[in-house]
Amino acid sequence: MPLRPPPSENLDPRAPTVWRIANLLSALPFLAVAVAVAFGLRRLDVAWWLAILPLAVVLLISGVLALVLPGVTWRRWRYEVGEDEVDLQHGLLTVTRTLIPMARIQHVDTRRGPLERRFGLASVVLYTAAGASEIPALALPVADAVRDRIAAIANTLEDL
Amino acid sequence: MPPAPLGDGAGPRPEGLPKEGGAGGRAIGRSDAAGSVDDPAPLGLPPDGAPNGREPAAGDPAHGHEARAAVDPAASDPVSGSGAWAGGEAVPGPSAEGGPSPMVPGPPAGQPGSPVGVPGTVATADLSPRRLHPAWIVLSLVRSVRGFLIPLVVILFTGRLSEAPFLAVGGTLAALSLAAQTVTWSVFRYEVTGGELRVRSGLLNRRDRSVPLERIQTVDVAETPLQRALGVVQIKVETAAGGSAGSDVTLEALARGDAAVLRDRLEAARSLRRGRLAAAGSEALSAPQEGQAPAGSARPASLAFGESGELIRAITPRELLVAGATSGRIGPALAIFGAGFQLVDDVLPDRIWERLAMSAPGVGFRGFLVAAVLIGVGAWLLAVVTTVLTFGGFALRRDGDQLQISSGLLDRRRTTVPLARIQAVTMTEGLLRQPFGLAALRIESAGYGSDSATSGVLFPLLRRAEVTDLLERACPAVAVPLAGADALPLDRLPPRARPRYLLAGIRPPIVLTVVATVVAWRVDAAPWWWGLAPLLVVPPAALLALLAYRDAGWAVDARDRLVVRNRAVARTTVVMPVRRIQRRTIARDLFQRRAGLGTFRAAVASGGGGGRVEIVHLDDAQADALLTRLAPPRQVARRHARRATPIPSP
Repeated sequence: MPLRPPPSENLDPRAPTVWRIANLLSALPFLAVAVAVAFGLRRLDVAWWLAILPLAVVLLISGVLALVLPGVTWRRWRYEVGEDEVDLQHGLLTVTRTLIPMARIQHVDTRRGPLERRFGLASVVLYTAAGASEIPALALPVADAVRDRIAAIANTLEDL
Repeated sequence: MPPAPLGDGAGPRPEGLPKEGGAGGRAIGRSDAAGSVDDPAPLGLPPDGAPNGREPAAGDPAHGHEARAAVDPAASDPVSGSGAWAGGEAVPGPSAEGGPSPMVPGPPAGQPGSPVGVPGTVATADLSPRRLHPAWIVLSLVRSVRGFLIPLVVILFTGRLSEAPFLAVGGTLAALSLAAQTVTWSVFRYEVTGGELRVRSGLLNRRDRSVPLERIQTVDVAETPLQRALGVVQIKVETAAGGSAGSDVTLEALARGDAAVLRDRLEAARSLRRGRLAAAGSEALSAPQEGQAPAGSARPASLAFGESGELIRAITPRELLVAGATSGRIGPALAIFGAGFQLVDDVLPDRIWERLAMSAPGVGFRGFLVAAVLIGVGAWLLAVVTTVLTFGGFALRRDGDQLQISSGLLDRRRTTVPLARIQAVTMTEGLLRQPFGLAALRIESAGYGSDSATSGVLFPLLRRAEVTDLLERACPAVAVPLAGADALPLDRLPPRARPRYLLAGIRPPIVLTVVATVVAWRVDAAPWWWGLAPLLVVPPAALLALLAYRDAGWAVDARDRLVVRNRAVARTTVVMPVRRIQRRTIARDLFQRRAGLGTFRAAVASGGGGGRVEIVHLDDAQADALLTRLAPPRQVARRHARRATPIPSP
């Protein structure tokens, strides 16, 4: 039996850029601490290569998080808003496929952080009685359309 | 007083209008609380009231509870008659006194003073503002004292109670808190008005809470031994907002009569709404019939009011004992033991254990063993006792579109669960119970369009062979044959999932062994091979893991119910109607993807962790097939179907 095809739509292509900036910003405090530690160790006459080791580790991790991860995440994220269901698929190590019937969606939010606003992106959050699911980083018009579409379909269905 | 308006949507009910509403009304509890409790026979309360209002309902199964609700209200509340409504499409009923209500200006009366209700309308009378029973003061004093119980016991033991400072401080505190509770009690009011339950409290910080009757999901009645001794019961009103703080209303001390009146007002509104939804009435089962009356009156008298409907099953003493013996609730019992030791340790002189040990020389290892066995047996007996106390008198009834579950010997409670709220049912076969073909049933229920969920015991112990029959009678929507020859055949996991189950099962004890051995090796106190002790757990863990692999299974039956069977320790079988499923997920991790396996999950409405099922390591193709099979049935698009019902604004 052939496997179900993955959902059809990708997230907005600008999404990785936004995530990169966000991850870099959140890495800054760690970098600052690592730099301070390096200076402190150097003062204590620790060998220079040992002193900058924490800094190197932090740089490596934040480099991976900020530069590599967003691209892969974006490639793995798929969504599709169908007639009866919303179909989501995402994940790096664990790929998760989630199907949410339209009739079960209680309400829909669009969310925009400061970075997302700058880039004209928005996230759509779907709420069901069993929890919330998010479609991150859609272009604002797309997000609004998705939200309106879901809301419209969900409204026309007889609530059970 | 004019008769109550009646209606079930089909037109005015010709028979059964109470001719003398006023005379029919009887005083229950306090005289101003006069209200008719609709169901005289099974109530265990003085039989009178609404004399002829009841008969037609009994003959009219489909609309039994509607009729009951409709007869109940305005018939006999002298305080306030108008402004009454119940459910979404209610139209105000005529004033009980033919004039404007003293309480509320009242919604525009459709036919003021008209003796006959408008077709398709119902009315629920208001309830004037009233206080709780004065026993509330005692209850809340006891509750505040409970925290000081241990210090109090210590003081008593050490004999310092008679010392003057203690007396003075204690006396002042007691007087102050008595005064405070009395004030709190005296400013507290509850009332039913304008289609809302309103509760006002607080002297300085006034709080006024309104709960629209149509938002009420369940009305629970309960009593602790103390409440019973004081002659009061507790009513808890839950709304869809459920767990979120402050959305529930708990009235801790109501005279039984008052409680009966209030509960029936609230239930009437709720069941009318539900009754309309189940309009065709085909689903609604029998209204209480003559034959049921004795069963009802056999219930403990204090909680018996309003108990109605067909008795589906009551627990027998034997089942109760077996349930206790196989409950596996030894853990909590041991915890109680521990607390007991702690308490003894606090109270008794410090060196009591040493002295005990001294007085019995040569106890040593054998003594330890004997003590362990004794504690084990004691914990087991305690588990039996707590089970008996919790589930004693357990009875499951069905009244039209709702289930009534009553239980408890000391703390008695009765929960009402609307059938329409049931999301899933779980059959649990504990390790000790499965060999004897025994199981327990739980239900997962949730509010409409809300996150709130409660799971409750549907029946604490019964034979697996009886499960289907009980479900068929209690909640047919989730009745799937789970045992016996006609049991629904389940799909099974592929053989390549087996080693994965085995590995997952024995990994924790092996990791623990490694850690323990290293620790024992580094620490010189014990020989290193003591660290190998966790290896003892490996064989049972492996066995359990293989059983888990063998027992895992799933199916979707012809009537669109998903059945998932699983085992952690106990074997659980969950039945959830496909249309209740909120989301379904397939997750595949790195290793699963390589092996073409996946983990399926589905969830129904749930706030608190329940209502989820999981199948680990099913084949990719099976997973996709299941995902597709569980697609929601194609909906008939009816624009704003639910909102089409007019919602009257109070």
